[in-house]
Amino acid sequence: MRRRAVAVAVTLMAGALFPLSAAAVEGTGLSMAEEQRAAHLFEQLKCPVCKNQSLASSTSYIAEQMKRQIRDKIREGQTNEEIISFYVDRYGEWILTRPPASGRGLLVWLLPGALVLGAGGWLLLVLRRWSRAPDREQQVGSDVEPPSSQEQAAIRRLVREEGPEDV
Amino acid sequence: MRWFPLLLGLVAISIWAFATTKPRQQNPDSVMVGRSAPVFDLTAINRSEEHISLESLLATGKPVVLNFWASWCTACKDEAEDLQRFYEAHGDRVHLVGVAIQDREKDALRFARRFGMEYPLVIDPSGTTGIDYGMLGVPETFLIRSDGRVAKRIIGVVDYRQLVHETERILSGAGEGGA
Repeated sequence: MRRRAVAVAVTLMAGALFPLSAAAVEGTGLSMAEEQRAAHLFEQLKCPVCKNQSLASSTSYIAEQMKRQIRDKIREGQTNEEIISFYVDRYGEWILTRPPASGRGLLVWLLPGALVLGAGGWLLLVLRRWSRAPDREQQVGSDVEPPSSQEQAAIRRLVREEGPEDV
Repeated sequence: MRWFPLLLGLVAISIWAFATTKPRQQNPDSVMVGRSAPVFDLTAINRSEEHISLESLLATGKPVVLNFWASWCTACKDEAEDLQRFYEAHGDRVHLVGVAIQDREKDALRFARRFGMEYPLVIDPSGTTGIDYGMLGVPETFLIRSDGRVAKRIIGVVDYRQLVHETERILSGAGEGGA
């Protein structure tokens, strides 16, 4: 009985919240998914009159107009690529918050990674050399062979004949 | 240490890539040049005709000087008299149209009266024509050839001499260029 009451309460709450979520996008005339698309596009484009601000973070008049225009284009059924290229056509590639991953722009994406990898590799190489340095000294020491038994006997004989040195 | 020249090379290529992938950030004035001017059909505020469209202007075979301005724009005051002077001297050979952006009609008309602007004025309250032209702010001026291609974009205040020089270049069929 208690479980049924909880289920009914949850259903009623969900029912009450649904119109709220629908109303959130009602003002724009877009569905939730379309509004998410619009928000993603606002992040990808810069406000043309602001300093390195995306449309999403700008409240300037032109940014607001562009947001409205983007929503209109989504409503008309244009794809994200079509909308982006509309603004790139008019403003140039600098209108994009991220440089395109093609042509020379690809270098901008790849080179930082290549630099980090290169620097990491170089650092590893230097560290490996440093860590090997004491081993090499040990190797140099171990290259000297211990005296043979005959040599040891000759050394002992010499020490006996000459006697211990005065200290 | 053998890696060092390679790293140095990568840094140099990175600097080159970053410097050359954003050329238009320094020269946004060149983006529209050479391309077809976006069409517009806007409400006239100081003429008997209700609308002025790019199509109707180009149909006369004359080039068009499109000046984006606003009554709230301080810099626009500096060029208003030069634009009017240009209209009086060259209005028979070139169309000059002022597009009031993000403005109210009564404010735009008050401004026009104050500075004696008699050339055709239209209003773009939504600002979409400005976006179509990739406008960065006011004032901004576009010179459009009679074939509909953008010949020149001037960002900021324009003066009489510059307008005459650029329109003469267009009329003589000289090359295109940015500001």
